[in-house]
Amino acid sequence: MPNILSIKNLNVFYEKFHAVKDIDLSLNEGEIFVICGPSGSGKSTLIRAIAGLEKPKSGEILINNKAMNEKEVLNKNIFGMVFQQFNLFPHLSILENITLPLMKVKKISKSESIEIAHGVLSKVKILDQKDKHPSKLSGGQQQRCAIARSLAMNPKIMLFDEPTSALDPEMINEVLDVMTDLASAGMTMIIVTHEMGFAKKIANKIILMDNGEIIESNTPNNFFNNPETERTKSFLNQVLQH
Amino acid sequence: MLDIDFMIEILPRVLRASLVTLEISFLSLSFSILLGLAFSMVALTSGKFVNILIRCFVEFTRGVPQLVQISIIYFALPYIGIFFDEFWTGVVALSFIGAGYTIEIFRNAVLNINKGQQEAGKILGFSNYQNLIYILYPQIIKRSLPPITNELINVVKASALLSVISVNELTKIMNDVIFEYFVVIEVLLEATIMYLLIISVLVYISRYFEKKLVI
Ligand SMILES: Nc1ncnc2c1ncn2[C@@H]1O[C@H](COP(=O)(O)OP(=O)(O)OP(=O)(O)O)[C@@H](O)[C@H]1O
Ligand SMILES: [Mg+2]
Repeated sequence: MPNILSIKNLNVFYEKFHAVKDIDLSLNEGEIFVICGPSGSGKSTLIRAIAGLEKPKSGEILINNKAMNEKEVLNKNIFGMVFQQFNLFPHLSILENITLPLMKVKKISKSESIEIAHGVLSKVKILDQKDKHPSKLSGGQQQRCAIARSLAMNPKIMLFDEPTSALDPEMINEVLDVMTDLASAGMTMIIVTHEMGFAKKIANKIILMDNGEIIESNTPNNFFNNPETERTKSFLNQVLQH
Repeated sequence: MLDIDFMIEILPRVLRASLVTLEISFLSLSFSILLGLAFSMVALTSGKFVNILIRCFVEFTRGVPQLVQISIIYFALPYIGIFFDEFWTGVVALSFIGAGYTIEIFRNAVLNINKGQQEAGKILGFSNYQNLIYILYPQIIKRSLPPITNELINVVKASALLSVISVNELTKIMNDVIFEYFVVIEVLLEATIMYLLIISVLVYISRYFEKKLVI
């Protein structure tokens, strides 16, 4: 598969604080890339910088081998992003959450937008909730709506920042199942998660971050069964105990 | 005893003046809401310098006595070549005074809305402007209605100050009547009732909209 995303020497600072240090990574079309690491290691910062939400101090982001700045990345809907806190628009219905960006950003007609929305909502299995407001839905349903909203914009790559961390345990699987479906359908994804079982199943590549650096980058099999670094071993010991 | 006949006799004049007060309050509040929305939008999408200017404006409208501000507008408008009658001068003055408060009301409402929504909007491809219009403002307006209702009460009360620039609103007419007939208690009582009525009606309308705008 051709290369879809390359990141070269990416550095992100918050004022003086160096949150993401000299990151290189590369992703082919259809690959699933999992990022894990302890709290404060820079996972969110990295994924936000990729998405165009943080301005890197230096480094390059290439989409299909073409360098792009944050503005281009945002304008061209390269990425869809799913947040820990869902970030749905509370004043709009589930359906409107999806049609509004289609109509206002993509300038698609209302009827066509509704058709697209129905399509993505049935993909995530909440079409029957379409007329409710987000606050009337369970966390799992809200997160699936957020995924549908991103998908509707037809992004090249989906980014997930701890999509199940704010969910009650019994709702985690319904969201992970949707993500698994997406992966099978060939979507390229970058996922920050603490769900190690899920990571092992779905990932093509997995990295461990600490202190803003990539400590280990490996295949899931090696990462879990035969990690290269002591740091990975102790991280796995910690998360797998819980 | 109260002279009820006298109170009825002056009622048409008092009612006409109340209508002027109501008009001024309604217009001023509408303009200050529009100014507040516009300024808060500019503040949220602009850099430091513009924000400092807006900050100065807010501090000015809040810090300088309203009577002084009204006089400034009254004398300043003709000076820069704008000739309004007393009524519209009063509206301009109260609109600016109100805007100092509405900017802060809207700004606080924005700060209370989870920032994640705007980030989600940004990734979906919304411009800053679209984020404001489609995501923030609909929510801000709902959240701001209770403080706006308070501001409405302030505007009605501040409109009394326009008597100094001879706007024929309730307080001015009240004073005129007192000095024409040398009757005090009845006139004060009637004016007080009118102010309370005006405020009750406006608050009622505002509460109605608060209920209408469900999230
Ligand atoms: N807006 C900000 N301003 C200043 N420092 C920040 C900001 N956001 C994050 N940081 C700091 O940058 C570092 C990396 O944060 P980041 O949120 O990327 O970590 P994370 O790996 O996503 O952690 P978690 O697992 O808790 O979500 C942390 O030390 C954090 O305190
Ligand atoms: Mg994080």
